[in-house]
Amino acid sequence: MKNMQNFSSTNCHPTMTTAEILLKNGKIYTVNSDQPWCEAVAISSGIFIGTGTYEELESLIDENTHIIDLQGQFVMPGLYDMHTHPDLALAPGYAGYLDIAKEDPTPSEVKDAILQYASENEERWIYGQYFVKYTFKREGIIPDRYWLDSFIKDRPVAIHDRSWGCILANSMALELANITKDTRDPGNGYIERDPLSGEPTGILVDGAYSLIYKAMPPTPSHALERAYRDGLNYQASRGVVGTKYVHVCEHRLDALKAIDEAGQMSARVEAAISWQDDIFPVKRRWELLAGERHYYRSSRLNANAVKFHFDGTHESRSSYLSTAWPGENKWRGGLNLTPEHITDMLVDLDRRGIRVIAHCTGDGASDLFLDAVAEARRVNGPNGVRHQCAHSTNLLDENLPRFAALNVTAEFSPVGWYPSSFAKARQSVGEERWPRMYNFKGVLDAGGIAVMGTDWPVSHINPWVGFEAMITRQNPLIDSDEVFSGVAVSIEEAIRIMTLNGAYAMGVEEKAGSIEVGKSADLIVLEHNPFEIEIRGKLHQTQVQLTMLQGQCTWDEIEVFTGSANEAVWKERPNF
Amino acid sequence: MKVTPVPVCVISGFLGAGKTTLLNNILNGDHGLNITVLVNDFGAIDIDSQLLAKQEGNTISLKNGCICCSLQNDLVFELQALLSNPDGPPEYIVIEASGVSDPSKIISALKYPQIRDVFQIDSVVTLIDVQTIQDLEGDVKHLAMSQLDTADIIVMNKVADVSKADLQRIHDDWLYPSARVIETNYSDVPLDILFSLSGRSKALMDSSNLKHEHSHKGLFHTWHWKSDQQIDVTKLRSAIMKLPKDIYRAKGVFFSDAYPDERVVLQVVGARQEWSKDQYQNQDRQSQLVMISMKKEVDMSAIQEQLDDCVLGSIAK
Repeated sequence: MKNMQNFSSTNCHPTMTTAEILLKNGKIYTVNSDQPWCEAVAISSGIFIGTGTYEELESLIDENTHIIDLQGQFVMPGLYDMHTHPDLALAPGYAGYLDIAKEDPTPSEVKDAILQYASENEERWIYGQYFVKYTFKREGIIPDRYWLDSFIKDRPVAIHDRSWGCILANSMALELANITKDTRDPGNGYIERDPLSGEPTGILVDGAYSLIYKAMPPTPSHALERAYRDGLNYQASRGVVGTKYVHVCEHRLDALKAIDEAGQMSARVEAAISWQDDIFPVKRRWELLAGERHYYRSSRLNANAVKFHFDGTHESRSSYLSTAWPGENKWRGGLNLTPEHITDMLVDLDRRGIRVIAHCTGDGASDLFLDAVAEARRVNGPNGVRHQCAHSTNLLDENLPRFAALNVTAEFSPVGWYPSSFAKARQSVGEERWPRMYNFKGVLDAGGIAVMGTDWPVSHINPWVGFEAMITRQNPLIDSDEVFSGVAVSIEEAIRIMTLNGAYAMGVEEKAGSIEVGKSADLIVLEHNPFEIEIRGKLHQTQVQLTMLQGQCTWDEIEVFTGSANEAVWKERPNF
Repeated sequence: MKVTPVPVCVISGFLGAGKTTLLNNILNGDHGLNITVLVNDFGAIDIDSQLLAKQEGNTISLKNGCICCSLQNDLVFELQALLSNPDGPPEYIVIEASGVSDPSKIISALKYPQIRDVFQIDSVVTLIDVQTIQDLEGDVKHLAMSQLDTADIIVMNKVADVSKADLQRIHDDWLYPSARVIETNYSDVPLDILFSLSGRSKALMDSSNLKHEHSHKGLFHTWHWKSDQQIDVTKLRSAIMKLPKDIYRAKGVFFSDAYPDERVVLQVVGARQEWSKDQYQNQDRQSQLVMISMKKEVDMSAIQEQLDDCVLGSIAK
């Protein structure tokens, strides 16, 4: 965090002889095997300077020490959510786009709303939702570019239909997006054309609306900032101290930097630059990777990572498997980039110390990804860069030891490992793969590092849901005895996954992730002790009463810092 | 090599609207087609037991086709997979859209570049239960609108159960000017309207040069129109938009100097008009249109006049 201008260096470090904060009378689970439990911790300059009993730490107290009596509350290191997207979940709703707030808007209501928005907004593009094809049919009007052009020609317009199956654009929007009769249809979508002339009609179906997005200005910075701020706020309220915002561009990094400079970066954030333009365009990708990313760096923010989509999803049978999909002769799923591309890219980025986070849902994709990492190791030698296999829905048993051997983090996203509609869709991968789904345990037992990511908005950003479900492999949200396939982890393992393993995945395990002298003073105080409650149905509802990162209070339900110089960064939890 | 596209009929409608009854009617029908049916899940269908041959994996074999329970996965992949079936591609596909999903997604997927040359939408039928449609609200109502919007042919089912006045109210509240509606009970829809490929439907379309003909025990009437002169295609397109609502199918080829080496092809299925053009070098450049109605008395004089009005003059040789 940049606004705390109290940095230490070789010959200049703050005195650490007395505690600024001392928490006593707690049940503190440290995730430090040398001292698993303690009762009190002393904090100075954002660092734990003592852990033990109150009596052992008493000598660190002076007249300025803020002593907090935990009254027996449970304490553990803060949580790490290693894959999530607050920007994708929230920013579009915050952007102030046109919203034709009518139940079934008629063509004339759509027209009036567009014209009114045009008169009230100076942004050139008019983008929003929604029109309903049916109401046009009722009035015998064809919703096409000519209809839009008939009342708005001089500004680009693009409106989604209610089901988000298509977008309707006027001629100026098509022109700015360079969509002509000669434009090729993208995969998974098409440009609707006049059947005889081939001219685009203005309707762009499914994948084709990305053509319009590319021409539109980026999501406004105010919306991105608000999205990240609300995301961080929510995460702090759930005890998150470290997170990865996987997929950023220069605008997103600008938004994160603005939050950091305002002192609101309430978690360590690793922002992974998108390698592809498949979610939004990254105009300054090569500048960022060449070195511009360092301008964003602080103790709370780094952009030393890239993210790419190697394969697809189980739902669309595009996950890249090691063998053909059930019922198929040859179809193994799809790779978005060639293995050669990935290998060269990995060797290159690895050499430059940039972490590669690869979306690999199929066991064939992760096999290829691990091969690429192996090649990077062969060429560059061991250099400490930990790459990350994202989602890891299915892993081959043979690959489990390679996570440790190649220093690759296996990341799992929650809605898949308890019975849910997602998990059921993912079971289409065939029964023989079921025992290998979301194999935390296999990775851990083979000595590797497993972490979890909420992958919001795919599943909810509350990390406690996945935290519970990795222990039970049952659906925390419904009352059902159904148990998901695969092996559960113990509560001790789950806590380590959520804390120290996350720090490891961010490359800060020497400095954070457990409660130890010399490490960053990151901790959470819980309303109950997870070792003493029934996990099923209960753990996911855990309320975090206090969250601290580097000694800074980010969330404080018990109001122990109220009125002090260390008041919580956030006061209220946003309602997602 | 250009392959003959596999025709696809999509049936949508809510649970209880009569989709399964229609499906059984189709599977029992004497259309002579071997039909592959795609459904969301077997639990939702109730196929006449005498039709069943065997069930294996996600496929139920029928005496005249099979049912694949596979729509929960990606439709594009499923359809592509059907093409590589060792027994050859299906002759005809019927997709029963889930009562809770938006059929427009299926229609869109059928037009994706990777499959649109190998599949052809033959008809999109939406069944509505006239007893319940007026009670729909919220998302379900939105879905009904999408089902109606996507429909080539709207089947108002169970009409015997409501009064004439109620039926009229449904027409007023729900239908749109170009809607092609069949009112039935027990999903009794003439298959020749649904299937372009059925024997009789083909026969009707390909039959002689009679100006007006009626067949199939008086159920269908066909009209032919032709011209040796060149056609103003732009005018023709707006004329076709005004076809009488009793015309359920039409098919035509047209010639114009604007398309010297091509012919313009028209397929009308209910409310949908599909135009295309293909290469054509033949000397014989007679424009023809054949239209099918289900009602005896259709006033064709207006459309006749409009079609005649599209004739530009003699074709350049």
